[in-house]
Amino acid sequence: MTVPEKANHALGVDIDSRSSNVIRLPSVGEDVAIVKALRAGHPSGAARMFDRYHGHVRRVLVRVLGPDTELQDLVQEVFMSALGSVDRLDRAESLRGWLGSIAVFTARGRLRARKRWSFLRFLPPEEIPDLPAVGAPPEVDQALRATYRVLDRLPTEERIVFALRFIDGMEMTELADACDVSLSTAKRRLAKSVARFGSIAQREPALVEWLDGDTRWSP
Amino acid sequence: MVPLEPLERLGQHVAERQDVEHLSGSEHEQQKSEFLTQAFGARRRGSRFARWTAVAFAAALSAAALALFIKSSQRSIECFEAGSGLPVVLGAWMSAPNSAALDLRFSEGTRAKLWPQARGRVTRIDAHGADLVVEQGRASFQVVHRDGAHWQVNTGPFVVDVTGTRFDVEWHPQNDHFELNLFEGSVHVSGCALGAGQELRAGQRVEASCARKEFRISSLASATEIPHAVLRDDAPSLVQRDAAPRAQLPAPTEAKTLVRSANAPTMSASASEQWLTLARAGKFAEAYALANQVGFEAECANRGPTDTLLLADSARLSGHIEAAIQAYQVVRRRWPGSAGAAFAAFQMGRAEFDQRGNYRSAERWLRVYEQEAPNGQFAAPALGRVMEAELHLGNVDTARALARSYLDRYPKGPHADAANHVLGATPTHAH
Repeated sequence: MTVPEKANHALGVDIDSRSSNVIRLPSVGEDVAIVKALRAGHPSGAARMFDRYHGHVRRVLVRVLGPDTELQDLVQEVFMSALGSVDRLDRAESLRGWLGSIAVFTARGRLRARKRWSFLRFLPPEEIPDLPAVGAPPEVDQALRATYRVLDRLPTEERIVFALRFIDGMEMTELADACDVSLSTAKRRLAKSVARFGSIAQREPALVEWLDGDTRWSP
Repeated sequence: MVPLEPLERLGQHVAERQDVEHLSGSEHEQQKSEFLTQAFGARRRGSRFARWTAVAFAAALSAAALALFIKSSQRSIECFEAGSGLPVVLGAWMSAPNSAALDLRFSEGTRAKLWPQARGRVTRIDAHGADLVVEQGRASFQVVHRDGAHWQVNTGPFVVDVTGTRFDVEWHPQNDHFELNLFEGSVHVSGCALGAGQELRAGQRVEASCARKEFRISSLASATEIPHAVLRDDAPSLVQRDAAPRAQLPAPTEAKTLVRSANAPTMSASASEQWLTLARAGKFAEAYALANQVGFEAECANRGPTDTLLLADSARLSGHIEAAIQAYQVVRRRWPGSAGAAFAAFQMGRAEFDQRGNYRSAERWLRVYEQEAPNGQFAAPALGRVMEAELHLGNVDTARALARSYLDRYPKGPHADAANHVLGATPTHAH
């Protein structure tokens, strides 16, 4: 195999055996084309999927996990999982929702791993990676950090539904789809999470005013 | 109990704070290169060196592909997908999106267009021309006349031989309807009812039915006098003559009920496409409202399976459960045995379970999905929900058997906790 042939092979580009003047590259545009290219093992599909849904995947992970040093790797993990299981995607048009549910699944694993290894944690919780300063009121930063401190104390499933519902603003039906549970289960979990969050948050000074209905940080 | 409004306000602020941190263009490209390298190239990441290596590797591969492409393009005709500029895959199926045409450009000047919902592929390409297949839908061609040129378009059982000309061709297998409108030049059409073939001249139209072994040649001028027509199974050759491409034709079983006359109000094409755009963006309530304005039933009747499912999902996710069920039923009726029909069964089960609390009906639809797609993407949640439904119905023994089955097949699935609960303790919420 020549060097260009190796390069094309690695890229998934194929030269048609009957007509050596045609490069086999799928055209990708919408989700159907992306999924088709993915199933054909073509990198252009993977690149397009990454371009199109990187923001969505990253957002779901950030909402559920909060600040996390492994965020970049987790995003990659979601896309690698998607590549490995794209044959199980029934409807190409649901690619976005499917990636969201993989992101939730990945976030769940990460949260469980955090809990498993928490006894080895040397950094106090407040030293979790900080967000860049962009001029937001310091109280908002405190609220963010306090929110995730409280979420860290919630059971994993409750944390996920709480984050998706209140931080991401996801509708309940969509949320249930993303978590792969029934709507009633999602509602039950959310109700429990709200009660538990409210109880724990009372001990967080940065959240007390928010939960009392103070709107001083509202735009 | 904590009121929800403060939580929503807090969550919104947290989200806004998180959203200020986003990747620059170069960071995005670097991460994408890493992903592609991990997926298709060298082993993964970690060090800065490895990341730059990934970028260089991806760039080298791209350069090699580009060089090869440029070299090959100097030799003979190439076909590009006009929108992306990418070469098309020889032999691979191409589908035009529901709302836009797919333009193809050949390097010697010939152009082709797959209209919305049409599907086709290029099967041969050489210095003299190409062979194309239009599996279904409408396609337009503008073939450059050259000495020795030979182009062939295959549509179902019909074959169109071309040297240089401009024409539209349509093939709707579900209606057994073939049609070719010739605007310039001449073509030779053969196959099925046309036998060894007919020569067509500019300004002529040929329509044919393979099953009935009939064809009709008429002039374009007379035919275009019919702006709209009735879609009936006894008159499949009379179709809309709109300049714009028409929506997918209804299946034969539904054709009898769909009547469109010249006086019927015409659907707003832009609004019809807008609800699709909104739905794809996740704005389900707005999409549903707009589809309702356009005509929910008409959209269900005229759209393809993908769009109809999207419409059903939009209705379901915006709380319009009756409409959602109606649209899912349309999918099952129009495309029985398809993956879309199985998915519609799952979605109806989900809707009956979640929104109606009708566990008997939910259980029935979910079992339909299990039967039709035993290894489908939703096999795990379907089984989990059947188990839940049986619990709700008070069938504890059945639920326990399903729980064992679930844990055997999906020990870490989303219903694993529930299944363990069913097996380990007396369910408390059965009624």
